[in-house]
Amino acid sequence: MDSARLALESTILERYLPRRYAFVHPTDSSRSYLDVGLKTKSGNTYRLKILIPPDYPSAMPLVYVVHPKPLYDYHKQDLTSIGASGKMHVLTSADGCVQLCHFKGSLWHTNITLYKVALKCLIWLEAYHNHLLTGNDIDYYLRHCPQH
Amino acid sequence: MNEKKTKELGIELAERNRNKSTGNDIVFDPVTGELVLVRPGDRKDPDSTTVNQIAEDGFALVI
Repeated sequence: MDSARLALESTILERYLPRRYAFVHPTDSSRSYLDVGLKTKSGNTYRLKILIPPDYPSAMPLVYVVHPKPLYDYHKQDLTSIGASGKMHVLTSADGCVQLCHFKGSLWHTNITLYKVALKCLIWLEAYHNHLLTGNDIDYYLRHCPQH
Repeated sequence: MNEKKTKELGIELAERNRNKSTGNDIVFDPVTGELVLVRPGDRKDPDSTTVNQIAEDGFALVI
């Protein structure tokens, strides 16, 4: 991420997620990520690792839940064991961390900020908590992107 | 209480998933760091971010 974009992202995050985020290796494009903590209505706190690709913002970041680990579903099954799932809106996991679906690659554009990605993941987390309470799949709460 | 608020938000998301209009807004409150359901007539913090559209854009599954 170039310095101008980093400054923009930092300004937005500082305003809306103060003390809840940290850029790790922000100037090293090969291992740069955003570490962000999000809180759900249930009072649980989650830490997300938002991997920033070298060609960000042209390319979309990948998002992993790094804490708590593992994440369990309603049936006490480790969510990483189910692989990519449309019903649960998750992608293939890595290092025991669930990867969240967020924006669709073909609809991604450079105006989408890391703050917006974090908000989308917070919506996923609230849907996940409802899944834990009811057993409904996450796609009961969250729609799929249009297929085009 | 927390479970009640979680369920309220879940019902709101499910309704939106079915294209049902509730008249409510889902907003992110930067003070509490949480999503909040704002009903018509409720005061909305000027610093809050409305996330209705982010939710309604849908979630991708790219394999």
